[in-house]
Amino acid sequence: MGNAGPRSRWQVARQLFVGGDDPYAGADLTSSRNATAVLLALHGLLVLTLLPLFPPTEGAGEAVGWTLALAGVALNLASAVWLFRMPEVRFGVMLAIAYAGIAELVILQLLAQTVLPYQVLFLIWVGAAAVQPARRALVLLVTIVAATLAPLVVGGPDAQSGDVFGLALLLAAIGLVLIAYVAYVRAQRLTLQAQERDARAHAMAATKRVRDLQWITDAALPHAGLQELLEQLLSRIATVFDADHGAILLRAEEGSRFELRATLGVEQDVDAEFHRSIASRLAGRLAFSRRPVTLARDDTSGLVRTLLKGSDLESLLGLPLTLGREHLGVLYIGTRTPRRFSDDDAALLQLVGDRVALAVDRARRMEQERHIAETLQRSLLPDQLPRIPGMQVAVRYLPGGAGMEVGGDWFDMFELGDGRVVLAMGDVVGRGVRAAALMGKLRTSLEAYAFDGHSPAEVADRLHALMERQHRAEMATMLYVAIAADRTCAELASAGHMPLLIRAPDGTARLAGREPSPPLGALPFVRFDASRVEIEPGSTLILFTDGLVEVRGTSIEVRLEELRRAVEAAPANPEALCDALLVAMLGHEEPRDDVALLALSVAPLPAEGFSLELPAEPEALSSARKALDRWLREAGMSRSDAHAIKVASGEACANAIEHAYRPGDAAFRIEASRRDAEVLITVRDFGGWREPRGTDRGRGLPLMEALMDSVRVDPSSEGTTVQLRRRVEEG
Amino acid sequence: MTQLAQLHLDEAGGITVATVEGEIDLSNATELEMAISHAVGNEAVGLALDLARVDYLDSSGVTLLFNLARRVARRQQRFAVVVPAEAHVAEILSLSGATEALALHESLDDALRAFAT
Repeated sequence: MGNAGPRSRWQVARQLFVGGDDPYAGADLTSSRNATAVLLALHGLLVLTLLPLFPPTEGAGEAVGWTLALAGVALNLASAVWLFRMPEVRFGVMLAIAYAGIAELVILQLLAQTVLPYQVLFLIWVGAAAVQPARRALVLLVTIVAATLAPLVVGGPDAQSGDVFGLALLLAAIGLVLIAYVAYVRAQRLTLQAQERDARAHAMAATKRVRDLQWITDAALPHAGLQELLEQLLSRIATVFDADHGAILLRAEEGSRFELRATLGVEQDVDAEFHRSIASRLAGRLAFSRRPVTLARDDTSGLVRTLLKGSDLESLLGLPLTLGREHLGVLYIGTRTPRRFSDDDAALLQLVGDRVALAVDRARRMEQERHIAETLQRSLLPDQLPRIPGMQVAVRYLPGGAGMEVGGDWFDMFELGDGRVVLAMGDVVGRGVRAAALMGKLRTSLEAYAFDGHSPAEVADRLHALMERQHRAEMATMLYVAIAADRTCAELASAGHMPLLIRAPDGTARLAGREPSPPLGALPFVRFDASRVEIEPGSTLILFTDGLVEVRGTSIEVRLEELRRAVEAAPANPEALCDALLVAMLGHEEPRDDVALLALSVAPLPAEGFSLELPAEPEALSSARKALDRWLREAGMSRSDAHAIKVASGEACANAIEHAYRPGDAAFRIEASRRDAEVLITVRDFGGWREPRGTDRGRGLPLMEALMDSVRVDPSSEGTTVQLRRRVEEG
Repeated sequence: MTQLAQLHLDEAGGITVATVEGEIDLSNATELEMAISHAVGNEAVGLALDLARVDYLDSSGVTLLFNLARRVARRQQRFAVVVPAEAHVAEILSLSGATEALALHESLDDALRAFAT
């Protein structure tokens, strides 16, 4: 914008005559040049006309006089032509020509020894003076008047004082009128130009503001997280307003405290508290005014003094972020150099603020929903899979690309009361909180139906019926694998899910469950079929969701084959296998969709023994018992031996659980081994041995002693070890 | 994994018959005790607890039996436990001294007959 508003005509005129730089210098040169050239030519022709009437022969002889006079005329005409042809002529040149013309006339007067006829031609140079910049014009006019009056002073040949004086007066008057008129026209033109310039600057500023606004709010990218959004917005706002300091504070979810969410030009720890105090003080004022507030250090209000005191800020522009009646937070920018934010700045920031508030509100909502869905999903997925001897399991769960809502992939694994182990995986069609909630419901229902003793097909039937009753519009896939207690086979039911991959001990891999029933909830009347697969000891079962194999533009068959080969190429260990499959199928990129992957290796329990670490919870007793039961059976133990060992070990484990210091993360370990006809069970806990209290609690130890040949309890500061031995019948 | 054991409740001639199927250990003994004890009404003559189909019972199971016996006795009701002699559970009960302290019967019929006397 111009350094001042449109200037008044008087101011322009004053500047033309008095002010420092000539505002007209360099402007309107062409018309001045043309006028000067025409006048110069006219001067030459008029002199040529006057010469025969008043010959220049009186002053310096005939030859010299004529030569000089005609040379002058020739020079006049040549200069006029030259002047016309010159592309650029400075005012100084034209001025020099005017002075030369005046000098020529003075010389002619001397040569002709007559004054008046030639003095009349001064009128031409009065005209030439008028087109000069005003101050020069005045000086030239004074020179002309002086040249006119000169014969009176010097005493010219026929100086009639009355005529000369009258002529001088006439020239001065005409000159002044002309100069004033030209100055007036020029002032008017300058004023118009200034106005036009201002208008253009204004229009450009408005365009820039719209562009700035657009640019700032471009940062409100639809998928950006709240934090990223705030930082982007603040940095762009600071750039547009040319501020070196700024912060966005948002009201905490609950309560009225403001939290510093994004800062610019702030040394983190030192200034954070200062920012907060600025914000809370500003907030009151801003919330009240609901308009931007500008502050500068030279203000004298109390607010400014309290706010800017103790900071190196010189000026500040603050804005409440409001949405309807809700007060979301505060945004402000500041500078360390003296500056006063203009009303235009405040108006632009107000516009920016409205958009920032909208974007913040939207991002916050999205983030809340995502947070809810993630929390829900996490709480609905098992945080720990059961530890079952002879089985190693690894799971990977990769949420889909950033900014996406959470999906409905889920998995589960549990051991049934009869020793069967169930693996389940599913994918609810859809995303977000709804999908996560349905996924949780399916997972819970599946476990309940499974524990009720239903077969895989029956479990699928029931889940389908549940969806039909409660979620008619939704659909989900599921793969249910029940591994038999003896681990030699598995029964599986698939509702539209990806097949099961089985990696044999020799490394070959095959797909099972390739003809699934329709997804749960897809068709009204469906019965689900189950199929049976043999499992060689040392096999690995692999369950996965479509996110692992689906790639736009590639057939699923091709991808499944790629996966099968990747399994054959991968190591057998479940953890390493999962890692290798993710790299082979997804590369190192973030998956587009959610990916769930579970690998479970089924190994026979070694005959010489096993070791198992379990959480110190009463529920772990049954896991320990099942493992022991299976091992004892595979080792060919008699039923009474097996039962005695199971009960005695159970007592030792129960002790370990009851002595656990910290519920939750405490664990205990059970080891079983056999040497010839003797079975040794060792149970270790990491708490302190507690002497039996009361008659009821003291039944465990006598029971162990009665059932086993020897019982040894070794308490130590690190924990207690119980060793149980029993000689068994040779099987 | 709360499905270790299942409890069936019945009533025969004023006697509450509780049948447990499955396994009893630290993880479910207290719950079972509460469930059985609540099932015995004030007007019942006694409680017959059938453990014939229990595969596994540890010291917390034994404690359960003693506690139930005490609760029932306090209400002037009679208590009988059914455990076939060949069952593994019988060995545990005898090792824990429950055989002497509790009225053990070979079958539910025996137990009900004993109540009638």
